[in-house]
Amino acid sequence: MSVLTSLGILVLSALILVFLQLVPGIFALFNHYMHGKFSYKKASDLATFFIIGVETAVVLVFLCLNIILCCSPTTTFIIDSDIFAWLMSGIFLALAFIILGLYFRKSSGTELFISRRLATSFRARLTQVKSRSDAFVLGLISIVPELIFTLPVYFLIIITIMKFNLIGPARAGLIMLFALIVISPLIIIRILNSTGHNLADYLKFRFKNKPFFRFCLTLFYLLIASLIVLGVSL
Amino acid sequence: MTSAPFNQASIKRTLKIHAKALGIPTGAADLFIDRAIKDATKSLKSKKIITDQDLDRAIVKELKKYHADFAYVYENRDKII
Repeated sequence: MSVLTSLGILVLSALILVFLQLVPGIFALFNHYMHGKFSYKKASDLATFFIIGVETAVVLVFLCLNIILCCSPTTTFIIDSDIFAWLMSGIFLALAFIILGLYFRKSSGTELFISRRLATSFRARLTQVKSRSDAFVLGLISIVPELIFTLPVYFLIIITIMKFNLIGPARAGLIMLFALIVISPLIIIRILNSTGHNLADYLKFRFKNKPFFRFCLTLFYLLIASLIVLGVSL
Repeated sequence: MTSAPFNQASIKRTLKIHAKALGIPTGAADLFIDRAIKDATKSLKSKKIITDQDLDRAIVKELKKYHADFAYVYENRDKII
């Protein structure tokens, strides 16, 4: 796989992590409810702990994948094989079609693929948050339902970074950069909220751009699938 | 279908949370909420069976008269995730 192909995969992976909607949606709702229930200071504090929770969960997933891939002696042999590349390409192709058909529900809002029961449970839980630990745990678990879409991306990011043969701190830095990319939409929502934008603005933006998000996510998954195949044939 | 009593206090509490989060001053928010609930209840009086959706729709319709963003958030609060 050439350096350009690897960079392309990393950029597209970063874009996928920014465009996925579940965690920003939960956070926007959480931030709104906290500002409605508590003082500005406490609400901001809880929002920070939610973001720290998300960041911790993402770093943990990255670390687990890194340990699994680095500690196994057969890893390099497997990930360099053509069959593995075709398999990864197939997974990304399947995810592209799942995003296209199932990621957003066919309703007027931006209801996502998760079961309605789970969505209700998330809403109920986020309205009951009172302490930093509640906010932190909610942040931790909010990434779980979307792992079906993010886990292959995290996996690919780690594999691609491994192929750069970077030394420890440089590799850790790059992984941390991707973990920060995941929380960048949450930070943007917080900044917008503190500059006078409210949940209504965010909802209108999401509702209006739902087809755009669906198109972009599908495109990014398809492009990654193509780049993996391109990496094999080059 | 089981019938449940109309829990005005709970709806008021939820509406107050949304109003505060949207930065609507407390006095104005209380006025909007009281009027919206009163008028929504009045508009549904003729109905024999009232579902939660009927009540929500009626409240949203009344809230739209006072604060568009408030009505919009209340209407779409369950449609985000």
